[in-house]
Amino acid sequence: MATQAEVSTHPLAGPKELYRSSTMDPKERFYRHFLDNDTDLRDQISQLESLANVGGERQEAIDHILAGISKLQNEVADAADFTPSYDRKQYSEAVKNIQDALNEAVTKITPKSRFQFKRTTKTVYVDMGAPENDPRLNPGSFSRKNTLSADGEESSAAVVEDTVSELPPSKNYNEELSQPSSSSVRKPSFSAARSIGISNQTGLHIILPPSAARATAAGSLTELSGCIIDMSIPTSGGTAFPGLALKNIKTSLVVAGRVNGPVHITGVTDSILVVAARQVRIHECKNVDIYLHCGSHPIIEDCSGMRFAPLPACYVSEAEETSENQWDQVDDFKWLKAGHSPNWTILAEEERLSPEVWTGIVPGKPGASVDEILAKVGIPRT
Amino acid sequence: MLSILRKARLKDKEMRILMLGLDNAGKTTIVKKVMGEDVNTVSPTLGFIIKTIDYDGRARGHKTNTCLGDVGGQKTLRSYWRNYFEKTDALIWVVDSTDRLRIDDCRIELQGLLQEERLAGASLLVFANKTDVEGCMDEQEILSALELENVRTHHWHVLQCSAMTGRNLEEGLAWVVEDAKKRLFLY
Repeated sequence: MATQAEVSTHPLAGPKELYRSSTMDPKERFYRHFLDNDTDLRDQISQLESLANVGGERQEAIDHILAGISKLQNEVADAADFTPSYDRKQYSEAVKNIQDALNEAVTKITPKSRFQFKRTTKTVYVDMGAPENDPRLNPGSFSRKNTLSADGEESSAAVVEDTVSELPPSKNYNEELSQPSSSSVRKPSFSAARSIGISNQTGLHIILPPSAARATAAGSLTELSGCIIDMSIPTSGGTAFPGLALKNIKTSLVVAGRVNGPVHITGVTDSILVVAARQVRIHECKNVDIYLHCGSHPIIEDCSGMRFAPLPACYVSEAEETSENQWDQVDDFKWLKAGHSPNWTILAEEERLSPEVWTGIVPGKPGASVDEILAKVGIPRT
Repeated sequence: MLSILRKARLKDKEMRILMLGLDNAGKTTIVKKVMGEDVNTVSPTLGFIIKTIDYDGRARGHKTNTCLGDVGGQKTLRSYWRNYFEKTDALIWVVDSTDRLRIDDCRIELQGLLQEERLAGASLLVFANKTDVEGCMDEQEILSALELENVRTHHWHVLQCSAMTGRNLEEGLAWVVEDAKKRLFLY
């Protein structure tokens, strides 16, 4: 029948006969072949450190190992029809372990860059036009950038360095923010940017002016501590973020503005957040007060000491008035039992910050330091 | 024996499709859109949603009752995914094409699923969702990031779609139903 013919000529049907030709049991044969390759790759990884970084010798070796891993992975997939599923799992795990070993080795030997460009969400892309990333030229293997950057900031920063000329020229607002100045208040224009990305800042009061409205294509705030960030001005009009990510923020006050999609809040501790969004997903947070307008049930997972309150009146715009606010319908994925989750509570009305605080103290005034403002709004909790 | 089984299958003509993916991939939104419900008030799924769709297999001229299961994608829930594998004829894997940071997580979870014995043989449709958002990953990027070219154990197919605009949703379901049908009804 037609269907059967189709199955056997499926383009993905690989060279199944590869390991069958021998008289030895194919399983056994493949096992040995796999072990040989495994040891070989591990040897190569351990030798990486001794190779010179100049002249691309080391990069070549890394590429060679990557190609080896990917070949092995293909072979495991090819062997799938005669290896039992348990073995298959073992093989995949072994391949993964080699990958991890490589990533570890690469991170260890990559020199620390003196300053690193923190990529904003918009610029985190793999340049598919670059020949080394074109999957058509390199089917089945993974792109070098993807694998390395999966391992964290250090290695990705190193990769950025050698491709920086290919990237469109973009102003580094984060560096500008870090420049010392007499006042701690910063008003980065973000007028030349398409997305807002603020990261690695400490003790600053950042207020986004209306000129940032055209940069709200995407937003991310990461690695902040002791900061006050106000993004409500550029997002209050018709230019809400389609999505926003807040990650690794401590002892800060963030007025995130309006988000016409999901907000991901991850790893935030001892802070106050103000946000209006369609979906709110909170992970791994501790002791955070959230003043919220949410069009769906907010969810928390792996959180504790969370307190929820409705959006303060001064931040409510027309868009919020038309949709129902479900700020108190919190679902805790770590509390599937009946009864109220111990991980969150509703912030009692008398404990909520008063309108005068939002309009008078939060915007700051000359002479008021960030620490003073944070103390006035009660960060950290007493 | 086999013919009895086949007859039993033919009789109920029910197909089970399981829809999985990381949290925030847009699984529930896809279901809602297909069902013609409001997509603006979707809450993250705490648990499991089952919908029955009367899918009209136009090519064959008979109706197939299709059960579409949608399980939440939060970390806590992923360990429960396996409870739904039994009797799954097709798997829809939903990917958030705008989420480059977690595409590796996405690959690892998918590869784990494909190792599952109880899902062996199920057709796999990868929905690259949220393609209405500017700057999302294209098909090639998804293919290589998920290493789909290495998948030999399942029939697979990638479709770019958007749950907000409805683009390609019908086409995707049509592929899944046709592909699963070939296996189930036409030995």
